Amino acid sequence: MTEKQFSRREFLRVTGAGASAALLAACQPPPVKVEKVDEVVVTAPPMEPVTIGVMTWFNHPFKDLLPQFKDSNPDIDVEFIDSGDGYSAKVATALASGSELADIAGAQDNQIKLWADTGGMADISEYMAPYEDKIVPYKLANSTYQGKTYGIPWDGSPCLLYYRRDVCEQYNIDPEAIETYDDWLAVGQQLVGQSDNKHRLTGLEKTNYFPSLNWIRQQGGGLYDLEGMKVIIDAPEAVETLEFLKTLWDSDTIFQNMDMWGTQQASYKDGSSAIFPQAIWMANSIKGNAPETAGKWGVAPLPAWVRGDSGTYTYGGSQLMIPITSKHKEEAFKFCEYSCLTQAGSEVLWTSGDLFPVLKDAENWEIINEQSDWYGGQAALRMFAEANGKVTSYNFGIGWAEGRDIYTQAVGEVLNGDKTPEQALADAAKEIRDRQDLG
Amino acid sequence: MGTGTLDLPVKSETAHARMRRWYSWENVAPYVFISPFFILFGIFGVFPILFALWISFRNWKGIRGGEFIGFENFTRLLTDSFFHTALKNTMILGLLYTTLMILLSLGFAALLNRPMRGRALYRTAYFLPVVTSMVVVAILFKFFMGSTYSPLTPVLGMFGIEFRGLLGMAWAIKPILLVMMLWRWVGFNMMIMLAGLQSIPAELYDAARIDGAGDVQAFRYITVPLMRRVIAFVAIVSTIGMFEMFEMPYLLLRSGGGVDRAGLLTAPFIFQQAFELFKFGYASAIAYVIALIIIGLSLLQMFASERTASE
Repeated sequence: MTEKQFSRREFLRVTGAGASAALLAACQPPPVKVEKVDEVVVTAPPMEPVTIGVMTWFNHPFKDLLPQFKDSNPDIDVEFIDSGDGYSAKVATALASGSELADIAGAQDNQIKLWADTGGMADISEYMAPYEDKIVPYKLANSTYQGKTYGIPWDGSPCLLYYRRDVCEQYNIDPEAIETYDDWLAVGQQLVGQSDNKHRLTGLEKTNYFPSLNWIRQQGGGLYDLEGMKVIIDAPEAVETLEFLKTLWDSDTIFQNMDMWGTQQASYKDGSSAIFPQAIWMANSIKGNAPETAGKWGVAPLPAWVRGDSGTYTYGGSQLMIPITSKHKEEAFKFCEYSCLTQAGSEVLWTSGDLFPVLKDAENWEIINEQSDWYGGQAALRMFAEANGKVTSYNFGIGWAEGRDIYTQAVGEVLNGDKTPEQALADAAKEIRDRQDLG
Repeated sequence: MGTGTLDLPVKSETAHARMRRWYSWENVAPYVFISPFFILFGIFGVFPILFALWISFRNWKGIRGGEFIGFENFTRLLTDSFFHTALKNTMILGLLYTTLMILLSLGFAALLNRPMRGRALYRTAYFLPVVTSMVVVAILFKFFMGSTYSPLTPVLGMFGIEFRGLLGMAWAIKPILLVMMLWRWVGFNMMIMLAGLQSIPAELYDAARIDGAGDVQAFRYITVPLMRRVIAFVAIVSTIGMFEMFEMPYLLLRSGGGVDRAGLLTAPFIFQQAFELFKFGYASAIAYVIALIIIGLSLLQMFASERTASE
């Protein structure tokens, strides 16, 4: 019998294999649960935590609710992705190309239909079915496309009339007494006259759809009808709205050609824009840009087109969506569900990001009646809730981006004095109909 | 066998050996080392160009695909008034920009090529806008010149001038874009011109002076002809730059181009069609047509430059 000789190479190979096996054994997670059933030991497979990626332009409210979410979902880890600049273009490209993005991404209400048409968003109708009766109708309408649900309504975006308390007190203006748009204009003339042009109502841009298109919606109009099949931007209420906008533009009660973000924020900070309609989420931007103005703000009901009317409108508003490339759709929905469709999650979104709840029963939550120091002690959320309840559904339509672009050019033509509101809107409606093959 | 020759057995190289020799590391290494560029160029350069051509013939909607529609995207360009506006604006601005750019950059380069006090400082100052962030420039411009909410409003008001912001005036938009682009790139082109000027032998100017030529004549008959190729280069680069101009018009006016679409240029228009309206096929068709226009204009400029030289 010959004794087998180990070469150095064989020795190293065997040692290496043994060490690797020992290392793997040591790294294996311990069994989660051991049950003894009639002397038979059953070992449940360990639960691997799942990590989902969240990418929105406004991650911090979600970060704030994460500890609560983890309490009830310890098996789901959440990673926040900073999108950087050009959020929409990045998401649009990823959706269209089918490349991996994140498990959850944000979308504006007006983007859902166009983005869903790429086939890059997951159909979440089944997940959303239990919530259909619980969500305010206008948000739900914006989350669907061709009968399927693609968006989880993230925040409502009701508007009220913001005002600077200090400025109104200084010039003896009672914003609560503003009932109509004519009243608002008259207050603006008083403000401009008394402050020698230092303070004005707000700033407007010639080629922006806000606020004129929202004013049209306040009267039941819009770019498209509810089915998205007809262009209705040449309706009488739209003509009337642009007539008022032209009067407002020429009145010197507003800052002209003001960019809707940068300079607008600066004018909120110094109080030069003093009484203006804005959405609830704007408060969060002002808090960030002008924290020293806390307590100086108040809100009043929106002016009406006809005295006594109580129509309201929204501006902005977003949804969460799950890209089709997500490998963890169920876990992703769980996070969206907790964030936007439960009271606990919605309250954090409100306190952390001024994001208004999308659930109908939010009206009954205690937090709604709390007074806010930032709004000078007003129960502002209650006022926004009342406005939110009066918002009627509207349709952004798949061609919204193009329609909006054509509409804003019409606004520019009216404000330039090149066309009458009737002409400009008729031309715009024809252009949209021709390009989008609509009635 | 003849004398004096030695028949040695020749070791014939087999095909296998030849292959081995060919695939030896020494032979393959150069290709391996240069391959990263070609791989990346293939992925990020050639593939997108070919893919864009493919989708320009389709009603492409992303991963849902889209049907083949032949030349429909191209024929649509003929009737799309927005595209015509974008092309017209780009052509007008391009013509003005290229002409002024050549004049200014050559003029500044000629001035700064002379011995003068603080020459390095001037050169740096003219080049500084090239390294300045356009985002910052656009934001500052918007703040100071864009709207009624401008520090200029009360100042001009003291002189009885009513300032309502320039970005809302259709007539002001093209001059604003033109001035900002010239300001941004004149330093860069000036450096190219300066390099060209410094390559002209000083003896030519000395000889001209001996013959009695003044500064203007020397510039006209020596500098300009010898700078012909550099001028053609600046003209071509400026023309291409105009068609590719995106960030400034987008930051100032967004993709719509502002009032009356006075600032609608081809690059933001392509962006709008692709990434805001999701008309990828149409956007690709526009991109191809623009590429053909740029190639045509560049060839025209090169031809004109060569013809001037031969004359």
